[in-house]
Amino acid sequence: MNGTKRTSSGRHKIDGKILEPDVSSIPLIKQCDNPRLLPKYTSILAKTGENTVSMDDLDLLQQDLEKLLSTSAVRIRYLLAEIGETDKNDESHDKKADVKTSLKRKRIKGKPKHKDFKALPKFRAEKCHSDKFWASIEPLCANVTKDDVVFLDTLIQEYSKEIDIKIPEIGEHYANNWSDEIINEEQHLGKAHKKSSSTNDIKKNGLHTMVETFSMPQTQRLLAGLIEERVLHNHPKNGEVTKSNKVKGTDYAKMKSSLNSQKLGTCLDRRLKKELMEQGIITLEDMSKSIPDDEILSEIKKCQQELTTVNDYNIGELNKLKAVVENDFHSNELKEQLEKVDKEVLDLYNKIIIARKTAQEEDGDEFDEAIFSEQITKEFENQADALLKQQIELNQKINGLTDMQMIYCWLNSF
Amino acid sequence: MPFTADAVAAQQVQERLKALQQLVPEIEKKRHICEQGLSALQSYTHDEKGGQSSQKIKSLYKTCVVQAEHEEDLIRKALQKITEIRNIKNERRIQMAFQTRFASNKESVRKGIRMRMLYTSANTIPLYVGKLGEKPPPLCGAIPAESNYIAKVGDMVAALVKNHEGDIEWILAEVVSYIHGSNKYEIDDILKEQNQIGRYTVSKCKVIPLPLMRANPKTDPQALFPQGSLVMALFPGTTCFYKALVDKPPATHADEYQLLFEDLTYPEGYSPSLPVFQRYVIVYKTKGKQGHKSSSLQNAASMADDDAIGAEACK
Repeated sequence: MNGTKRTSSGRHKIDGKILEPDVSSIPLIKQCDNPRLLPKYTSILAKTGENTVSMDDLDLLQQDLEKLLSTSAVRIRYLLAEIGETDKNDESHDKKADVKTSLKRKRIKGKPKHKDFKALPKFRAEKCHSDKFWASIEPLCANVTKDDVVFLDTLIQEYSKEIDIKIPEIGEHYANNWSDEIINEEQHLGKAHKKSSSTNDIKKNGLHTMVETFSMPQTQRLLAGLIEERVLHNHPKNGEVTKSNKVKGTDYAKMKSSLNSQKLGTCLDRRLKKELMEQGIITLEDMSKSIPDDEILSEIKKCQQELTTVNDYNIGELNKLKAVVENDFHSNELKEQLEKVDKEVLDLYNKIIIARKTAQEEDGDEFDEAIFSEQITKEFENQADALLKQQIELNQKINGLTDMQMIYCWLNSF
Repeated sequence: MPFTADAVAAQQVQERLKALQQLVPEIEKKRHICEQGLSALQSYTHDEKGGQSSQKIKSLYKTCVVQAEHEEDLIRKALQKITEIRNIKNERRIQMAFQTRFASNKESVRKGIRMRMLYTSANTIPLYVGKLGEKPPPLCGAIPAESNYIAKVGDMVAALVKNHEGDIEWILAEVVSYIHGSNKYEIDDILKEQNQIGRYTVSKCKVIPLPLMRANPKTDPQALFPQGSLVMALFPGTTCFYKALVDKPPATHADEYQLLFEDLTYPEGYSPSLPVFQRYVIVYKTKGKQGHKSSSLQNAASMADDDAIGAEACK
């Protein structure tokens, strides 16, 4: 198409970037060219009054109008092609921009290190105006103030308090609750059959397995001791013992799976305990001593222990920090003093300069450098010496305070 | 004033002329707006300061497009009026011819005048300027008519006939009627006054309707025969169609084809390049056997040498 041909030639390409379209190549019959290019059209336009167009004009008028129509149709094609070009350019620009922004986003995502600084005012790398950046950095780099010291003090105070959360007394074991329920159930329903069948099970499976089902280790030991004694009495041969052991091994799994017998075991436990206490074999003290290590209780205790350790550590760190802050505070004071001294030194210098100038003006050609320094400088010399001494002292102090170690400590405390 | 067909036609023509008269200044106004839009675009893009935004340029372009579209609409309207006027006149002419047909009051038009008319009609058939994405319709430039198309009464066609001298040739003719039952046209030789046989009855397949619209090479070049294609065209100064090669298609809507006619009197076998209007260039139809090749121009269209071609084409 002609239009597209024109498009490619009508543009100025500089460094591969399309700068501006050549508007002069847009097809157009200019109005000033009317008489030359559109004679009939122009003559009809010039006429006034009625019946300006006659039948004889038609052929030529048609030609002129066709010329106009063709030109404007071609122009529309040209302009649309130009718009297409601009769109394409924009698209390619957008693509480039997209790549850039996506990279930026990635970078932001890949900054988990800064997650800890949630309290910081958020600043986006995308709109990284230096002002914003420094504003966000400002609170981090600001000098330590009295408020900071007070804040640290309150923190330390708070942390130093005793943790007075007491672990509540351990209640009855859930297994006991269960056994109570079973006893109640059996009493109410009076189902002796179930009970007998379970006891039969135990009989069948041998005493050793029953011993295993008792939850209390003490009960287990007692029972095992009793049974062992009897077995040894009745069957002094070693072979028999191993046989009974075998029985225990094979049926153990079966027994374990029987929840009923498990509950039964706990019931027996309690009963045994009661019996033993009545007969004075174990005392209440022994019982309380032998309170089993409750897993949850021990876990809680462990946690509490950890908590205290962490707390202690925190207090230590806070104290360190406080020392550093105080140190810094002191060094800030020193800095201020130093600045003051610096200013005084400058003032003194200026004074000397002025004095020299006035002396020069007064004496004119007779101005002698040596005499001047002897006369005037001596007045200032003492002052200057004092100031310089002060300056050096302060500098030394500050240097002593601002140790690398101090910064390290401060960083560590986070 | 008697309410005759003539008067009605005249009235209709007058109305359209008036509308045309009003349209011309309006077109001028739109052209002015277009020119302003373009100069705004120009001054923006040529601004020395630089920093032109592509968005702004685009919006300026779009404005220019809209303005040009408005201009185009009005021009199309004006051209439509002209076409309507021509149609009204043509209707009237056909009616007149129909009336005089039985009155044996033959309209006598001399050959010179007839040829002149052919020249103007070639220039005044409507120009097709397609809108973007629009396909040129059938009978626009080189686009052939659809197979079931039936030429209207008064339309110009090329018809394969046996003339009074016994030669078979493609002549320029005008449709008188179409006989539906036999799929045949009644046609009049355009130079019926001069030729012995004025009216022919030919089967539909031996009739090729001439284009009703010119194609605009700048907007619809696909509706033109490309260079080197084989065509049939009215040889200048005659009313017969002969085989030719396209030397150059028209460059603008006002231009003609430059054609090389097959002519054995020339050593290359072709005539020098000759101009022919779009309207009188049609597709070369038959691939049938080439008959005897006469050296005369009249017989240059020897592909039309016998009815077999027509019969073949009819299948």
